[in-house]
Amino acid sequence: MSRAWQQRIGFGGLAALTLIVILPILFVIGNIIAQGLGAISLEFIFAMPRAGMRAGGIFPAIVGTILLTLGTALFAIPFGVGGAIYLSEYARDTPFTRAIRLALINLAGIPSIVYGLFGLGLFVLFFQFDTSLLAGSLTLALMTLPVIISASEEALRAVPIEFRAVNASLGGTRWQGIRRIVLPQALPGIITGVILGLLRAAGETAPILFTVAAFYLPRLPQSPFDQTMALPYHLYIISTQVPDMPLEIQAGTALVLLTLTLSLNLTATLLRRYFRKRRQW
Amino acid sequence: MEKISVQHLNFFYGVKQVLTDISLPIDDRQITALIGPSGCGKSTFLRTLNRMNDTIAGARAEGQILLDGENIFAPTMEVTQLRARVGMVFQRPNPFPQSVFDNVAFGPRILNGARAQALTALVEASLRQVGLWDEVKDQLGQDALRLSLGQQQRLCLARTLAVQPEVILMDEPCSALDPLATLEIEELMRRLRERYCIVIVTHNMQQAARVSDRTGFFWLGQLVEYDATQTIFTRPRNALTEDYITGRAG
Ligand SMILES: Nc1ncnc2c1ncn2[C@@H]1O[C@H](COP(=O)(O)OP(=O)(O)OP(=O)(O)O)[C@@H](O)[C@H]1O
Ligand SMILES: [Mg+2]
Repeated sequence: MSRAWQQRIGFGGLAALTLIVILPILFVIGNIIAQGLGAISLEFIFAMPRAGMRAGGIFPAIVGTILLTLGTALFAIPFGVGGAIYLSEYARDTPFTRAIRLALINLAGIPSIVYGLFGLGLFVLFFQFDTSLLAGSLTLALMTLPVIISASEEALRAVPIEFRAVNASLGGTRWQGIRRIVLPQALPGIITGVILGLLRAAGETAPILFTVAAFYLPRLPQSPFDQTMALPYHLYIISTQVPDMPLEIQAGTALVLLTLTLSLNLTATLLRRYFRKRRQW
Repeated sequence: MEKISVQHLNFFYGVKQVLTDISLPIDDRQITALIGPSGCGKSTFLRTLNRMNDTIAGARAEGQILLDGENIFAPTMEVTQLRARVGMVFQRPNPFPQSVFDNVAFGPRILNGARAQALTALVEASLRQVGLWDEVKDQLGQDALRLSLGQQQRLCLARTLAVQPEVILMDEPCSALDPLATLEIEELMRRLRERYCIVIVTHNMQQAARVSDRTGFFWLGQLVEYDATQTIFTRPRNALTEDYITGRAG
């Protein structure tokens, strides 16, 4: 067999494999759109649920998910980026920092339900935040931290050490170098890491199960100590716990969740592109 | 006039001794060249003069380096201030991925948050000093990485000058440049010599002979010979030096 043919078969095989991976995803998305689009209306998005959630809208779940994501960002970004700056710029290579890195890798692999139970124990019960936006945000933040720290640290390390040396040689302190050169250069990578982490948080059900999510609460949360509905949990409820649920509402809810996460993803891509255009070395 | 006085300097990376009992005076408004084979400690020596080695774990210096009579290793010496006084140009041109203006303004901004008007004047003066002003005055906002390598290296020099140092250290500043850009830098050094104390590490014998007033020859971490450049290149006292500059060793 000629080498040209070998190559053709190789490429063909790879293309087929790619297609096999992509097809189910396209099918699922297509299916959700086909079945759920009919449910989407202003009422569906901006109204409270009615009739045991079989009618009305999913407004509180949408707002809940947005608030939870914002709350997660509020806690996870400062600690995550701060931790990454510490690890990449200040920490020397000691057994202690190596232990932290090892812990981060392992934490990233822990099932989300374990975070949920941990959040229940720590935030809900021990700190007595009760099931609340606060407890849920903290739990989700905990779960996202390893992702944000690892991605940010990697982005920081990718900035050439020479720039740090130049800053020092000009009389700059380490922090000035970080603030004025390293951080701006690492920003695209950090943003990507942050949004990937938040994406995961926005779609998770298990961590919010015991810490914040309300089964049925047809009003908006009044304070950080209030419970709230949230899209992933709501979807789980209406798909498994409510008899005679119209399929259209289930698919519609999934479609809204999907749109929310995809737009977050899109924002990440656009931001990354914007910042990358302004950087090259 | 003596600007820097190095006295019995030993330097270690961990347990490995890289510099042994180095003593030499470095004069103001002169160009001092350091030559020697690869790995003999020239860069290490240069980086101790502004304490850039401080950040390397396990690195340790013994002895004294006096800058205007003041020991730079003294606890009272503020290292950021020392580095503002003793500037450095690196081997590879390394402008920040920012505009030409921001590059030159970087030092003044971090050191005293210079006021806008003074800053513009300072940037212009620094760019003029390195002969870059006429080439870039219409594109100060342009990305510095779009400049040619030779221009980039002169920009880096301007960035160092904007901090208004007293001493300028250069570690093989021309090794990444073509012959023409190299000559430009050498020409520049001769002009800067009027106002600064310059120390340059170079692998290029002709360059050392062309630009420097004094030359020091390093060999395995020791300063073998230190004398007027002319003496080193015409009547070296040490056989090792002679072998090295004539290309028989190194
Ligand atoms: N960060 C470091 N840690 C440990 N050893 C180092 C470090 N930097 C340099 N060395 C060692 O110290 C010695 C002197 O290195 P230095 O870079 O000062 O030599 P040099 O004369 O500048 O060489 P070159 O002409 O190749 O630039 C070498 O043996 C080198 O391997
Ligand atoms: Mg060197």
